[in-house]
Amino acid sequence: MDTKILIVDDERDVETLFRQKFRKEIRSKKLELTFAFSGQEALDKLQHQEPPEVVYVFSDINMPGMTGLELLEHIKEQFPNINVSMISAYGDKENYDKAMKSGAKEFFTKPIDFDSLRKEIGTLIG
Amino acid sequence: MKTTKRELLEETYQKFLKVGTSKTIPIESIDSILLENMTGFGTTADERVFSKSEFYALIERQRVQSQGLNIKWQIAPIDHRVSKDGNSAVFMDDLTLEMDIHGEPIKMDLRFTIVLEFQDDKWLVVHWHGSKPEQTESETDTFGIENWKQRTIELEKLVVNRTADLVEKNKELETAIDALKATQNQLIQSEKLASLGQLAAGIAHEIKNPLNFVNNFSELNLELIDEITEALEKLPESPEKSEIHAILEDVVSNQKKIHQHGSRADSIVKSMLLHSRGGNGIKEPTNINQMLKEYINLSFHGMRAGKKPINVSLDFHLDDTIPNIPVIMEDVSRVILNLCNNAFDAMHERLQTKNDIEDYQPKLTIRTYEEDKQVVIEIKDNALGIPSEFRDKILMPFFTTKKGTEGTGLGLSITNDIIESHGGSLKIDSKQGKDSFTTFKINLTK
Repeated sequence: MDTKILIVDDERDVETLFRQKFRKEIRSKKLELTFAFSGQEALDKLQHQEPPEVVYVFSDINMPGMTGLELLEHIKEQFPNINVSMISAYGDKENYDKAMKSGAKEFFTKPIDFDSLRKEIGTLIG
Repeated sequence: MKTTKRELLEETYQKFLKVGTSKTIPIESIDSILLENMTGFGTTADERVFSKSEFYALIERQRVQSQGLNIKWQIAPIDHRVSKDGNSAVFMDDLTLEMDIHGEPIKMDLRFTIVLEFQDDKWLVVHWHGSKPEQTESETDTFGIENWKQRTIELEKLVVNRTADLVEKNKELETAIDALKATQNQLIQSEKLASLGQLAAGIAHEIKNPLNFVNNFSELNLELIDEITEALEKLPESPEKSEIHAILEDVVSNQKKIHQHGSRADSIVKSMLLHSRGGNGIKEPTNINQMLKEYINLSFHGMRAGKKPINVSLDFHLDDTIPNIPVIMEDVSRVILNLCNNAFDAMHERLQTKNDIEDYQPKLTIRTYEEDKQVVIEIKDNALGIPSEFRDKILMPFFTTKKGTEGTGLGLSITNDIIESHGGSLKIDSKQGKDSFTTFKINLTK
């Protein structure tokens, strides 16, 4: 079974970017990507299936409505087994500390370094 | 023994004096020796007595005022004369009055004259006059005019002194107001800069996101073209294949340009964010040469885009071997901007002076080197130089030679403060006339 990852960002082009960046992994069915464009949409997607197929969530922090840090708390509360990492343009200490305290696995800064992201995902798909 | 008329006169007089100088003897006891419409002049302007009751009032007042004072009277007769018919008498005495005021002994001389008349077998006080002599010499100044003149002169002197004081204070206040105005201008400027900085930071953040996409997608395209090229290799050779290869090469080259300029824009945005980050006051090891190039270019382009653009050649002599120095970037970059802006202003000013015979070519020379375990930055312009009388003043706050509102007089003062707060020093060397120049030399400790 392929590994399902959820990416949350209010910028819709993020989907195109990720799909192209990971096209090989997707084509070879090692990885399945799904996208949400708000925190609420992400939660809805996770709650839709029981238990959720998604094993890892990558979320932006600065989004209209529910922020990435709020989403992180909700996920950790409802689905403690799902890994969550943050991807943010604001790599300041305050955001970093908050994310780590709430149980984030990693903290990536924008522009995304896809090599390190691929490495992180690689630990899941082997 | 029957007292004589003369004895009765003395007795009456002594009685009058006793009551006049006593605090306790009832005034009524002399009622019988006072003429009903007696008159008298006291020592003060309002002491004018025209009746017995007014005399009583005066004595009452005197007694109230002398309460608590230990007053002693001494009487020295001058002349006691009686008229030929024995019915009127004029007595003149010197009176001396001694008292303690707050433990301080006071002695006062008084002159006293009294007129008595013999009526119905008794002597009556008809008139008296007491006076205090003025402390002036009668030989030269009977009326005390000299004293008045002297006091007038003293008062005039006092007025002149006070006026001078006021003029001085006024000048001080004017200077203070000027200083306040300059500070206010400076505050408005820095307030504007601060809000501009916030705006810049906001814009930088907004630009950064789309810029990330540009850079990410251009990278992606390069990867995709690599894959196309790989796939293309599997096809047999053909003119079309060569054509596709050629076009792909152009696309790759364009894509690299997009990535290159995107990265350039990204680094500009990053430095904008860095600059507007606000004074966190943290010293970080800094490549001084790189900082100089960056901020001198910034100042240069600012000047070119500003109101007084000039053609300046920038001559860099930077020693690549100098070590990184821990500095507060926002502060030291401001120093560099200040010094360069001043230099550009000065060279612009020289261009405006018509009497430059030689071909004048503005030039800014920037040097870095190591000296006595310190890193030195030199910024030298070839403008008109600083007059020697200004040289020790130019670092003082609010000193400016710039006209009108162009200068606040704070630029160099702040520059000096920043360098000193880094434990460094700022030195100025300047020459006027032929080959004139001004060099600002900054020494920074490693």
